[in-house]
Amino acid sequence: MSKPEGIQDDGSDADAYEAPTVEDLESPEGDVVVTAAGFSVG
Amino acid sequence: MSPQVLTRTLVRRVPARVRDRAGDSLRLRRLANRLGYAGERIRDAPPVRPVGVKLELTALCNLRCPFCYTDSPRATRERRLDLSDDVWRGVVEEAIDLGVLEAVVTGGEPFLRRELALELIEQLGAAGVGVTLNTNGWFVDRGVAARLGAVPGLHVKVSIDGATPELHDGARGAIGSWERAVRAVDLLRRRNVPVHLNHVVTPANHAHVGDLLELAWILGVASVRLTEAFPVGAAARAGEWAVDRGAIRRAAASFRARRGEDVNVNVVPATLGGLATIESLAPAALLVRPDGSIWIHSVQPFAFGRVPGDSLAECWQRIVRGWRDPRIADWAGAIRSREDMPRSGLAPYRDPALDVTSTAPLPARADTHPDPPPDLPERTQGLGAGSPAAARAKAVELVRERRYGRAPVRAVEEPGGGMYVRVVDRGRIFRLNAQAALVLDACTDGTLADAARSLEARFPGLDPARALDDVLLCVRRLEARGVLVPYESVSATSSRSARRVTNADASAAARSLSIP
Repeated sequence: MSKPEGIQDDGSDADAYEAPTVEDLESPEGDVVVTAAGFSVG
Repeated sequence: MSPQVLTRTLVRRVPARVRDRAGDSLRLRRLANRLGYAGERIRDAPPVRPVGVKLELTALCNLRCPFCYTDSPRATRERRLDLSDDVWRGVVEEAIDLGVLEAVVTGGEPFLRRELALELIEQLGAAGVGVTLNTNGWFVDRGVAARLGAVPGLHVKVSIDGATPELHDGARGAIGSWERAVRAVDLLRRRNVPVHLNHVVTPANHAHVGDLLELAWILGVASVRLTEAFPVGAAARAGEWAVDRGAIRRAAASFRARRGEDVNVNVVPATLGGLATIESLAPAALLVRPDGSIWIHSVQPFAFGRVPGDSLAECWQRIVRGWRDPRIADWAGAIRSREDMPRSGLAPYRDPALDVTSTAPLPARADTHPDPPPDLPERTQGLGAGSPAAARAKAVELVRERRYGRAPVRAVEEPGGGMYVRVVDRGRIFRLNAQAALVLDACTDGTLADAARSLEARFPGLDPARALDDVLLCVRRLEARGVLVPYESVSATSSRSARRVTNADASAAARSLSIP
């Protein structure tokens, strides 16, 4: 029986695990800055 | 540059170790105050009415800490009397009528008078007074936590004097007091009550300050105050209390580097410099002792009258007129070192206070014991330091079953599972990676243990201990930002069962969710 998609031989998920992160998206001036998209709102 | 700014700039450049040593010198502190170091702390005149009131509901305590600043173990042994319930009700009514903004409810252990303490706290909270409660946590059960959780603006300070049961119980003289204190913090946090820890650093526990801070972080408290034993009360009678302040500061800095600002850590050296402010800082609050005597502050053993014979208003007028009484300034001026305080013959909470309004002794008015009066526990000695890892595991065991609800949010999902979230009430926006979004989803009507299981299911090779640790960190961040709130603090009408974060249920939640 083939192993489920994404599961490696050692049992770990193929997706590399990263710790949960919570990023604040506000500039010191109070603007909301969606940094990944490179634009700001407000 | 003004002399005041120059002084402050120069003082800030002095190493903390040297500042502490100088802070122990009243002469240096007075000089610095004259040069402007006290700066904004100078208040020339008391306000027309008191801003705050501190209420010591009882002198008695169920624990026996050898450094107790109110010397409650001795008061308990002597079965000292307190004001009656009716007198305390009158004091609080008058304080509210006077317009106080803040009240501290303390003891002894205030929950030795449980019903009275709860009644007064609720009355003050309902009147819009900001209340801070000091407790050792022993008597905080689900019922007490539920009532405290309904008091607006309440903060609770719980005393925890060790990272482990052995350290804490050894200091507090009662086996089981650590478990009770930690449980109290957990019960209060489940009601979303802001909790702060008071930690007395002593030669017995100062090597474990880092472990204590980690415990505080796990429990989700807002702040920790690390203070040395001050030579008043029981600590003025006996004991060696000097600790390595540098080591404490290093432990605090290491914690901040590891955990950021999740917990506010205040290091408070027990320097005597504060006595110098007696001359420069006019009083703004008054202290009501268990026997009804009225003081300005816990470190000033001078009485300005006594309730119920005198009203708070009358006592406040005496304070306004007499806070610069030369007897107070002379007493403060004679104390030049920590050793001078016990030798002064007027150590607060150890020696009888001086009545500055009369040469006649104050008439006794106190007439009540807590019912039943507490028996002091056997002294606990030689318990050792215990295992910080085992204590941490016990704390984690408690908080992993803490259930959460989600505040009203709007969300935009990303293809990889992450999301942008706006907390409606606070108006702030965050980006969660896929794992944090998974934690948020699992903790919406779920526990930390549920969230850890979600992570393990998504990443089958993930170490369960790491999963739980990461969830703890993530939930602390989401709590601090108001995204997650403790389940038991959310009103019964809320939509707790919403499992997915969607804008539809966020707007529904915004209508129905009530967060105290």
